[in-house]
Amino acid sequence: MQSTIRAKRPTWLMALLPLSILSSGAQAMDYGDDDFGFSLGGYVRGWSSFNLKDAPETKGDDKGKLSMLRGSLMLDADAVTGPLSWKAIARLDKELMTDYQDDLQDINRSMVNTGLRGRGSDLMGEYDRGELREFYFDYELDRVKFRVGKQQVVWGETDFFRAMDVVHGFDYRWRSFLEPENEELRKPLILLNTTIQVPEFDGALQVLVRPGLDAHNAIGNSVDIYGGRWAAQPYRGTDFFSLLDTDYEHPAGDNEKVTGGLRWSGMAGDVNYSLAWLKSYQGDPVVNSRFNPYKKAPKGVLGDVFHPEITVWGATASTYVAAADAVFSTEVVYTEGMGFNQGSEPLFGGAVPPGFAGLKRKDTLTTMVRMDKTVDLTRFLGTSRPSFLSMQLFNTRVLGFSKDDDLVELTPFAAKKKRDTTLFTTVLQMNYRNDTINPSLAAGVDVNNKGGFLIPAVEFAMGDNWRLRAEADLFFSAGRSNDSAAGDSSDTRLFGYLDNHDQFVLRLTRQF
Amino acid sequence: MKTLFKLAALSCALLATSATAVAAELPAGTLVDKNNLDQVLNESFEGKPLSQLLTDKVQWQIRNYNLGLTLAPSKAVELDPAYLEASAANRDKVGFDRATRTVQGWDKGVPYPDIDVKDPDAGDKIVWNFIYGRPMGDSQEMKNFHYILIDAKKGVERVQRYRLDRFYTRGRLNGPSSIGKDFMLQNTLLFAEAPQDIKGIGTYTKRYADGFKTDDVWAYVKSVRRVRRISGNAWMDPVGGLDILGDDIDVWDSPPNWYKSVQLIDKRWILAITDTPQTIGVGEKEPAAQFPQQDVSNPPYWNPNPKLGWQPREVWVLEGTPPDAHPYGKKILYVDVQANRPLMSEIYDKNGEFWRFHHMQQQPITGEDGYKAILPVQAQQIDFKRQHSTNFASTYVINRKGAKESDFSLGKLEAAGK
Repeated sequence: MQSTIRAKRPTWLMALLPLSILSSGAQAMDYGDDDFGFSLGGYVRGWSSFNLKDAPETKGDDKGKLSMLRGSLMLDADAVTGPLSWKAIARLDKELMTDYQDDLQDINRSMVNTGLRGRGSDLMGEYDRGELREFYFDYELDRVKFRVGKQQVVWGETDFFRAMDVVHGFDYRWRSFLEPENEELRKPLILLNTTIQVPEFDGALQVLVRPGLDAHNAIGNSVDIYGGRWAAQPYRGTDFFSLLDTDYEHPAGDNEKVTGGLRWSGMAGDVNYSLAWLKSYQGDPVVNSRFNPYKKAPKGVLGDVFHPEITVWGATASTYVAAADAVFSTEVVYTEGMGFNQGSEPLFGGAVPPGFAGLKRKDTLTTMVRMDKTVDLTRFLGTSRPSFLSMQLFNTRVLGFSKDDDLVELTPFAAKKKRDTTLFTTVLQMNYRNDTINPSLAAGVDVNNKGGFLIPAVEFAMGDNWRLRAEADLFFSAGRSNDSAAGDSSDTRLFGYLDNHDQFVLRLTRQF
Repeated sequence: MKTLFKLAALSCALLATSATAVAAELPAGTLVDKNNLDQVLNESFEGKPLSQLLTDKVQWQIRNYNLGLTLAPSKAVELDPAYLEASAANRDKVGFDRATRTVQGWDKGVPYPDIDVKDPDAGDKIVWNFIYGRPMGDSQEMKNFHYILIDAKKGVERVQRYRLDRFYTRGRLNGPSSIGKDFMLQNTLLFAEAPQDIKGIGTYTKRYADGFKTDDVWAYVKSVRRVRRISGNAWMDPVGGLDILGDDIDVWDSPPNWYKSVQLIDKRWILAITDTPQTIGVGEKEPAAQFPQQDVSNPPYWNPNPKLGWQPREVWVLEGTPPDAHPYGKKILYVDVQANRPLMSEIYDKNGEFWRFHHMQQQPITGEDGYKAILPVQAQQIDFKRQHSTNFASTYVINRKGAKESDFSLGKLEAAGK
């Protein structure tokens, strides 16, 4: 008998329940001056998301069913105590079990035949959490600034995807990559972050040291391989954690190791640029297979997932070009030691899915070019001011690529890794009525492998306190997906994983 | 006795008639509003007829938009001796290039302290005078800087709080007059402090001094924790969700050579506010207490407090013709002759229809180094077509001790990001 709270009659109004606990009188606190002061703000936020398509993994029709009913309380405090300024951000998340998720959990439990109970046997355990997300202090000594504590550091220029923005991993379990504020998804780390301004050379040197004091699961991306709502199709309801363990102490990916990096950022004429070197961890996990272990025998039935340590060399540049009235940006990143799983064929006559034949480390070259432009749609669409348009091309090339390596795109799919993966994305942000109504449209296309996504959304600002966001997340697999594990997955890649994950999301925020 | 009484009454009537003929003098402290407007338009203040002191658009707002004001005795703005000395030294020294409409040979102070009303370039020169020769100090740090978004029917809709730090790199009066090798005028950091969804967002803007290049601008996007270069060619665009363009900041923010033309069309007296009291009720939460010098309690909720004293001020009246791509058709600007500050503007659309009225109230402020400055501490920026206004209120720290250019840099934008 599970102890989770369950939404018996799912309705979007229930998503707003957490907001009722905050009285209308709740206000941010502010007092003090530049030497000693304190301010506290934050929000109470409720989400409800509905399936727009049926998930083939379940027996019933899931279209229209609630897939997420979630509430969060976030507290954001700033304080100044003489020469030190402090920051603390805490977030408490709580979800209610929906019928759809209960169905997934039931499948998870029924599938477990190894005697091991994985994380998917308690789905709410993946979502409910209370966390001191950031807690640090700043101290400035002339041109040197120290930021010490748990924090977020973002490098690079790329939107949607990660090239140099790999200081941290992301938590993609509860909302995939779709939450618009990626600060809410990034997994903060304990860092000693020193920035030295060097005005003589029009730039600054940033030194990052991660002493390895974080929680063991703070590195890499947290992804849904436990059969939840964001598990790749056709594995919703398949709890791989009953077959795989997680290894944060792998010799090639030890979370307690001291890591860090250096970044020089500056101006050269009209061009902003940065050069960086970083020791970090691969975002998406790879499998250390029991059938061909990599440097260490795994503990899991089929193997362990872990995040290999990577070395990143990167450069960025951006500038405004008056002739085009646009800002052009680029990012080029050389990453050493990315892990790829091998084996596009199942093992043992199909008893073990593809991707368990071994692990190969490769270097990759990631390039991004982007144009940001202000487009005047006031006459065509009646916007109250010119709109923001961004278009980005993002390519990842596997260096030293060889078909003989038989790399797979993602375990447990059979699709082979290609030398290049190219993604085009665009964002249009519009504003109406003094920015109180803000529609947006985000779209992306997998240029090599077909498929894409479309995210129309509108955010309403109601006074100082209330914000409502309505969003549709639409995915197009272009027929390159598989409905069951027994199906052919030799063409299933990114947007095949997201097939039939379409959502309609309402998010209501009461900020204070 | 009766005859004597009649004679006395007749004398009084004659006196009254004669007084009306020369316009009765109103005392300081008189409240002017829609109830007595027609009456006071026949009267004068400090010897100047109210019908002339009140511009047509101010009269129109008194009559139709509940604007009220209190007559206050005129008082010269006390300007800093260093400012006056540097300005006087520019007489017959600073040139003007008509081809580029730029100032030549300027170092500090007001470039053109003596304006000839017959000079065809007088409009450009007056704008350069308040851009280059601003009596606003070498650095400004705006604390408690609020934008108040107001609907004529609903009242205050939203209140946003910011912090702005600006450092001038040219025309400095304390120490070297110029800092840096490029011909830059100022570096500005702007951070949003409230409400929560904009808290932490920031911009850094570097402005070129001669108007040949648009600004260099970067934004710190808090939701993704990253600094991003953005277009600096936004001077003709609305600022965020406000009722102003980039061009409208401080009534007139652009170099005159970004306009097709700037013509001096009049020199006259108007009523304006140049000694505004404290505009922020620090620590207060309710808008009426938070912004005591604004009338946010009475429709249309955007007017200044009617108790504020409006003084007779001599002004230059300029007519700016923006470029074709600009949303405005014409901008009429009122610039204080003595204080060298833009006070008001009337904005017309491309069809010549009255659209917006911007009114900045000024306050003398003494810097931490004793410098005597005058700055805008409150404003109403009204869009009459949309019946909406963005009001503004702030306090300042001027010429903070120890302020240096590196405190106002791109690195600071990123370092301050939280």
